[in-house]
Amino acid sequence: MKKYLRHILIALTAFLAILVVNFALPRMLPGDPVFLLTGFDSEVLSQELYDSYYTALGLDQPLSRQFADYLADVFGGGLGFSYRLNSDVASLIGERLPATLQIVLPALIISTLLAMGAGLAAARKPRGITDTVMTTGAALLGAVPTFLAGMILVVVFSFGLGWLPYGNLSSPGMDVGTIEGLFDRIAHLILPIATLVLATTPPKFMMLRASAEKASEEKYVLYARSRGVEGTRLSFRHVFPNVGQPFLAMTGLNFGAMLGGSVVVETVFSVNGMGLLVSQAVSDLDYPVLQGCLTVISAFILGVTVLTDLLLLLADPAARRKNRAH
Amino acid sequence: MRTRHISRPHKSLPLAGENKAAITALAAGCLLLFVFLLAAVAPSAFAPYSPSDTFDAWLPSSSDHILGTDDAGADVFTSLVYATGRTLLTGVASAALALALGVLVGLAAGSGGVIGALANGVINLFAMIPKLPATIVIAAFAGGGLAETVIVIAVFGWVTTARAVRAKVLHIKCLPFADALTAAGYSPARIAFRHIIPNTGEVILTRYITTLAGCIMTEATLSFLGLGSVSSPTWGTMINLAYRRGGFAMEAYGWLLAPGAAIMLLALAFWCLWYFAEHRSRDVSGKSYAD
Repeated sequence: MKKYLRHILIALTAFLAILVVNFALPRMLPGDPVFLLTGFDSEVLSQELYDSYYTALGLDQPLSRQFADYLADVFGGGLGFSYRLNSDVASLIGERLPATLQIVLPALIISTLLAMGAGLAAARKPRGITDTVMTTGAALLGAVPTFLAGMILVVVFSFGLGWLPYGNLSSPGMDVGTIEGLFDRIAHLILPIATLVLATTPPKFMMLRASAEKASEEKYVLYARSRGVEGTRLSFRHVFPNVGQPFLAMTGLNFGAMLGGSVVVETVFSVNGMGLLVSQAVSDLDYPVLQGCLTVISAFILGVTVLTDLLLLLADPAARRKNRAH
Repeated sequence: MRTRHISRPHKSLPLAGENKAAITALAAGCLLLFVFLLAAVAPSAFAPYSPSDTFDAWLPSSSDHILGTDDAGADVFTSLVYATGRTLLTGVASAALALALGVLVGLAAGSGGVIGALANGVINLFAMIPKLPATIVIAAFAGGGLAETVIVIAVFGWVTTARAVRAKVLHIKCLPFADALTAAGYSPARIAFRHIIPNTGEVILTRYITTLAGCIMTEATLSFLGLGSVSSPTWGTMINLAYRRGGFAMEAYGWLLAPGAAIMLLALAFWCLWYFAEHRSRDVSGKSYAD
């Protein structure tokens, strides 16, 4: 119980730390805060415009007042204003978040299941043939940068074989509501999801394999074996419940890494989601957008952490029983 | 933990096959790394042309230009070779900085008391922050110079090292010699720096190798997104240029894919070295700290 509470508390602190850093970076760095908050430089801004931005951004106010305004903006749902795209950051992200989640959520589920199956299978007979093949494969995959994996998939399956479409999430004129549109959407999603799965499965696999291998030497496994429990049943019923908790906690944390990986994947596949927004903001130096995205991603991590911890708390018999005793 | 240490029979007793694999990995890793280092130190020995030579733009790969030429007519293989040094330098420097940070914080976290709790809190906090998005934001503010890039990468690259060092420090502190030193009246700082750090050497070495691969990967991703320096390009910058200047449309796959493949080979070289080091340390202590 305490462990989970502590975990949630750390996630909350991390989120608040991101907020503070976001506030502090443009104001504390040596550059001019007006340029850092708007993304414009002195060539674009006339003196009058500069002055009007200076007051509009509240830079004439004391820092404490600025911080209060900033927090009000974050929690009030504005998340700052992009002067380059002339829109508030929250609605920019809101428009693009569905595309990102359509890639990230399936990828998260698939990579978790893959890592689970492969990790337990490999740990069943450490240094056996399955283990060697899978571990070597994971090491090779782990060395492939995400953008290279994506580009190879595009070159092979979109340009070479022509099996799958490239770019965006729907062909022009397709409506996702119809059956045809739905299949079209799925065809567009396959490669981005596959890229993200390839990029994020190896570390999860390695982690689960290591802990499952360690658990296989425990006496309860020996006892189960001597009762004739073997194969998948042994892995899933006896080993996994004992090693699954840190694995699932890591999977929850991994959500942040997947949203990060989505920046690369969406750039490679030119999917108009939050990741592409980030990579465009990088080339435009649109700081408010970058910061807004970081805030949203951190908020997601906070939410997912709380959710996984609650689920693990419900699934953890030790914690459950202790609760009942109180 | 100690009971496992004793009761666990040496799992890796039939060592012949594994030893062979570890030594093959070491040889392969060293060979690859040696080639990359040579290319970094003496690029002119590898590159067929000088980096300022220009030819026709968008040439496909041929015997004259193994990987073709880019939009400005520069030979891609030559640019690739000349970018090796910068890529390695950024990786080595940021990994060194991350390692130093990780060792210090890990040592503090393993020391107990208020400082230990505080350092441990910092580790947990950083582990929870989304690494890539946070790195992107800070890199965008910091600008793309070498020093800035190195610092930005190191800021989020030390966390796993700190964890591994902390675990090892906590383990060492349970050993009798640590108690003996305390009983002999040595100060905690002296014990930490003169006696505990030297004993974490093997963890630090394996962590440095993994951190190096990780830092090079992060740098490549940042450069791919356009946060790298244009004046002295790395492999990541090359891919970014190839991608933004229409490498896909022109089917300039050599320009698009070769730098990524080079990064992959480099990461594999480090992985081979890591595999060997891990294998060795498992042989010696029967336990792995470098997750």
